[in-house]
Amino acid sequence: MIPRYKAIITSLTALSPTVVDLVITRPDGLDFPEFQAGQYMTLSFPTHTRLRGPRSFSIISSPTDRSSLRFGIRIHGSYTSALRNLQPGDPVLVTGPFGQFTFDPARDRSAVFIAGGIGVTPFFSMIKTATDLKSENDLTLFYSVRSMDDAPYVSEFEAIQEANPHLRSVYAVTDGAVPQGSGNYVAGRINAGLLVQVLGNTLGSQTFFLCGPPAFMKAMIKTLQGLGVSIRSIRTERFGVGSQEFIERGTPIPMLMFATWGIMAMLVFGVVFKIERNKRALSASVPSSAVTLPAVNTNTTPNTNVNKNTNSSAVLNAPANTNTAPAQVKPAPAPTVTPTIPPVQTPIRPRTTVS
Amino acid sequence: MATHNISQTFTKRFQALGTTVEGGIRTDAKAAQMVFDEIEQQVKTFESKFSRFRGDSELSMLNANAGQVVTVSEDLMELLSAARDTWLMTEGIVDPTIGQALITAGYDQSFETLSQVSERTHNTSPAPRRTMADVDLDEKNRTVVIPPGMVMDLGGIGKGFLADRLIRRLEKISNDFWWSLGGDITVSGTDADGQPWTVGVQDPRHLEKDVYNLKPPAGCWGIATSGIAKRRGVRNGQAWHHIIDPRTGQPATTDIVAVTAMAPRALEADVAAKTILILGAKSGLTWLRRHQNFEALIIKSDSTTVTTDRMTRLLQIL
Repeated sequence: MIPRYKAIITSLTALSPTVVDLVITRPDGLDFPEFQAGQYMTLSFPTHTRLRGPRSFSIISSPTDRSSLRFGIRIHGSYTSALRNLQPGDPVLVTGPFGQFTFDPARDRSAVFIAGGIGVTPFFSMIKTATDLKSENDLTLFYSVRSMDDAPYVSEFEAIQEANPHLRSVYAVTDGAVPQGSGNYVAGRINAGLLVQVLGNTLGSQTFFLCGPPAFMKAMIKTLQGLGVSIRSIRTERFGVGSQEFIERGTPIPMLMFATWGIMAMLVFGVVFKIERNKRALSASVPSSAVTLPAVNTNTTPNTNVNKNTNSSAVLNAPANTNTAPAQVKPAPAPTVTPTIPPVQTPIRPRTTVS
Repeated sequence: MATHNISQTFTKRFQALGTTVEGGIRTDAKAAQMVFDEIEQQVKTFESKFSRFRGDSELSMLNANAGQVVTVSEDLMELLSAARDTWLMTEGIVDPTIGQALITAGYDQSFETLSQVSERTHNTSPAPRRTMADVDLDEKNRTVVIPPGMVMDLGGIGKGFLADRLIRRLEKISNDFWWSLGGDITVSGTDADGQPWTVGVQDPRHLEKDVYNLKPPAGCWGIATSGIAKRRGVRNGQAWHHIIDPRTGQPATTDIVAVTAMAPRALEADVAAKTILILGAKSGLTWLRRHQNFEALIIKSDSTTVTTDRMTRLLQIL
């Protein structure tokens, strides 16, 4: 069963006009379960009417310290607005961890994190983890913010960068003044020119992690692909508006950029063929208005007891070899489906039925 | 415990939980008989304790004492905890507190005894929006308080929860078995030919037929199908089915006819199928992809099918 924990809020801090930073601990003083950087938890606040429904939030703290869990949450909509009413000491139900959008220092030797807004939260955990482990992974963060007034965790990233010589950070400010005197800040959006300028000829050897709103993700994927980055090297997590909704692609769909038109034609033909077979199978099964009596399998004993409420056992304890052979899969009607048709004893075999 | 040189599959079928319970196991006759007897007893005990439709069940006692502190058995506390985990995992989509909504919708008695067309009148005023968060579970003292007016229904997760318990018992006898609680399947190991068990997937539009054969990969898997083709009816001229969307308290409006989900545990498969059905195909798949080793086959109301990549490779169209 999925681990579930009772926790309490230990701090709730407004990092910006639209972002709150939430820290929770376990009242028994124990650590939270093991998790991987980039995973998320489901939280529910049982004492707050509007916050009882469970929602998922990325963990921004590092798995190197599990004494508390930290979350960065953007205020948007009625649910997250209600988070402002939380108080330290309030109980929290925590379930998880979940998610496959994870950073593995051993696997992702050279990683680029591209964040749009609050999508930066899983990257905070990833970068903090690599730094805590003193790993020598080559890390680059591109963080797109609207303005420096609404740019959570920038100061903490700067502090981490001082401790991690293998981390580079670039903050793209799309709307508002750019801090002077630092080469880490640029005006405008993250684009192909900026990526090439920072990453140079290492573009092809990087693993790219993308997280942000859907439009941002789409633009970034298009930009990276335009630079020749393989979709296999791109890992994505999309944050929806309001509650955090994720779309993960653990196994990126291979691009067919270099396939010959002959292979593509064969694939298209195969897909069309499958769809047609599927449609035929389903259309053939549309119930007709005429009553069709079931075929009785003569190998089984018909159950003549119409009262399906009986609990009398029908035990077939003889050895059976009928469980797998498709040729013998000639099922009679399921007894509990149509009350007007007498139930018929069907072969005992694995079959998942609508419930 | 693994068994050796086993070639025979012994099978068993009985009625319980308002449905057909059946299974098969590759072992010797004596062990099979013993485990079948134990499982039948275990299933019937479970039903007697946790059915909402039995007035003397422990769950009915809990529902009858809403608003009061009730000390419950370890089994019920474990089941309620699992229900809360499920509620959290599905972000509230699978909620055991929908009992009143089920009654309002028309599912006020066991489906075995329920007429599919009924003109009886019901209080159709919407029930207050209560959720699992309103249920106070004190696992340490084994006490539960449910709010006045709430009716808990554990039918949504009960079969999956029970199946995972039965697996523990079956695994002590053999690695090769399958078990079905009303079509929610658990499979482990291989059949008499050393091949993965073949699981028929019911055609939701023609229930006596199968639409696919599913061959799960090695290991132990839960496979469940959820749909709106069964347990439905007409009440006061309005169509209803038993899949309630807790966000509205009404039977779910969905673009899906049936979902077959596969997951490492039976409860997970059961819950995944229901969640996708309620969320609809697009959002359901988004939710599914967040969970490792969860696979699904979705048959939509426009007769198209959607599958996860891995599931596609496991299916054989019939």
